[in-house]
Amino acid sequence: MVSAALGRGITDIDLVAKGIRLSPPSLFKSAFKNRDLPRTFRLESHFTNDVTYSFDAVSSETATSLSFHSERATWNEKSVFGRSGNGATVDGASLPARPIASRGMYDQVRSLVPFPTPVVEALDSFGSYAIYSPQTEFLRGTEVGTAQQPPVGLHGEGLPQAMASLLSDWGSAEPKRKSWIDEIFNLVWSTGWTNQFGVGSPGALQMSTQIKTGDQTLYFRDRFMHAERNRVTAYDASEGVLFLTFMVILLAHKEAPPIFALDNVDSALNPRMTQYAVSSIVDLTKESEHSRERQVFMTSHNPTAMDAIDIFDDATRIFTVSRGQDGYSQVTRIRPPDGLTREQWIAKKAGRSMSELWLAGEIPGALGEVRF
Amino acid sequence: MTAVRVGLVSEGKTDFEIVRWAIGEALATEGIDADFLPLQPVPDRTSGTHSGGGWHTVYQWCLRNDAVARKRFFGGGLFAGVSDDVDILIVHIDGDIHQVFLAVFPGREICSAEPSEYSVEPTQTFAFCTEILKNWMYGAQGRAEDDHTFPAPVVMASEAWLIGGLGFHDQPDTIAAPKEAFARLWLLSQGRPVPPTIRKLKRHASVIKVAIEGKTADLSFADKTAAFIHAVNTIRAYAR
Repeated sequence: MVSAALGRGITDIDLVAKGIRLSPPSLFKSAFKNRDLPRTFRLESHFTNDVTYSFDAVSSETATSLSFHSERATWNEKSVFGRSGNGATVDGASLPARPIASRGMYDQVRSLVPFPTPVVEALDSFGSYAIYSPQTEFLRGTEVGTAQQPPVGLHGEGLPQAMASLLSDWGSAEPKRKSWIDEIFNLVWSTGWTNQFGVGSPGALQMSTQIKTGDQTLYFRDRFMHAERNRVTAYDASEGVLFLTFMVILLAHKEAPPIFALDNVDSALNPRMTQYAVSSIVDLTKESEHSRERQVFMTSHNPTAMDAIDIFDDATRIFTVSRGQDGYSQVTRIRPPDGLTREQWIAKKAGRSMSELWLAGEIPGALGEVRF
Repeated sequence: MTAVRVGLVSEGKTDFEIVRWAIGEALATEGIDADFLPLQPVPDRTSGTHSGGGWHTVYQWCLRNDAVARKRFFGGGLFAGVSDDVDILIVHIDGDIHQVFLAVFPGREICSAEPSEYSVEPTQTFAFCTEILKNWMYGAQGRAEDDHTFPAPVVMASEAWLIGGLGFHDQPDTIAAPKEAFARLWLLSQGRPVPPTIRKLKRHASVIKVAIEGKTADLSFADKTAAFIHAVNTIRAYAR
């Protein structure tokens, strides 16, 4: 929602574009028993280089969408821009007109005002954030939609076009970038059965005439099959390889957002592949030439996803999300106790892996409460 | 030909391939067909698998597989129709952990033997590693009679066993193109494709042989082979 506010705004259409599941505006606001229902809710974000951004949003049962009550961005604790009931300011100067209530102020003024570079870098990079939730129908091409935010849609819309664009980039890339993209392609090769992929027209490939897909489709070469029948379209390929191909786009495509989320990163992957895929995403994100600006959020219900994260490494973190006794959502970082070495930690957990600890119920908040 | 099935716990894929090849070749010359089963699980990253600490994997395996748990390897397995029984379990570790433990773990609970009490001489490193592995595998009570699990440390790094493996034959020339054998094994153990022609393989071979010899340059030939022969003898005793 912060990202939407830094983009166009917080109307339903803006939230959908970010991958947020829509609810009536009133449900975005906490409404616990025996608590006063606040008129607004507040979100605060803190970026590197002492940049902050916060806003209060109005959500009521009568409104059709959320709107801004106030907004404020600071850099080194000084106001960069903001608005409230008293009007709006940019760099300390009042604006002659009020910004549109449903649209983010940054989007309305950023092209007119030379904001400091750290502010622009922080707000722009997070402003392009989106939550990707690939769905099989879109990946296969049997469901066709538009990619609202290039290079690929949140559910996999336009995956063949995104891959064609990436392959074109790969073809003309400098050796260093080519090698980097090759490394990312390993995600696809890791499935073991394919050693080449490309984009083509469904008519030129072997596909049932009863299947309706887009003008272009992905295909994969099955390395075990006869040369004349070894090209498998996205429609016939495994879900896992399609999901991994989607990851390739997010990691390798120049237009992919530097900060993004992958919902259910374990979709269609077996436990070993989940661990491999998450490990690869971690490595590729950390090793990227743009690693300083890159950040990936992943959700998973597969225990082996945790095996891919080193909780001793501050750059890779695991959080559990659960609800406390009073129903509040609790986000808790899982990390080793202060002062404990890795070796002591291994001994303490009797050699078990993170996934085993999760299954054994020994990670607080990770399994939630099951009422029988 | 007699056979022996060896469950092998090692620090990683490279070590497994080297040990399998070197010991397998040595036993084959005596008419023993050794089949090696890799046993280390894919561990989690928090346990240090990507931080250069391959010995963590071995340590973790020992913690998860105490003497009682290990009985499943010797008697029937867990699933019908799939036999994962072994005749002997070998736990292998690189001797360079002695240096690591000297620098990092004096007096820590993970280190049952005090590293500084052992000199850096190859025989002392071998003794230190054996002691560490015994403690990880058997605990304070020592090895039970029906537990066929044995330590098999190598003095420096498992690459030494490549040389040991060749030396064991006492006539390395009997192995066709030993340099190429090194190179082929090395590439396979790294998961890299082996060049299709001998000419291309030779290009790799010279570089790889120099690297392996450089890594083990501080060891005498006897040092390189002593631990290796010890492991071969241990396994040979279990050949059926």
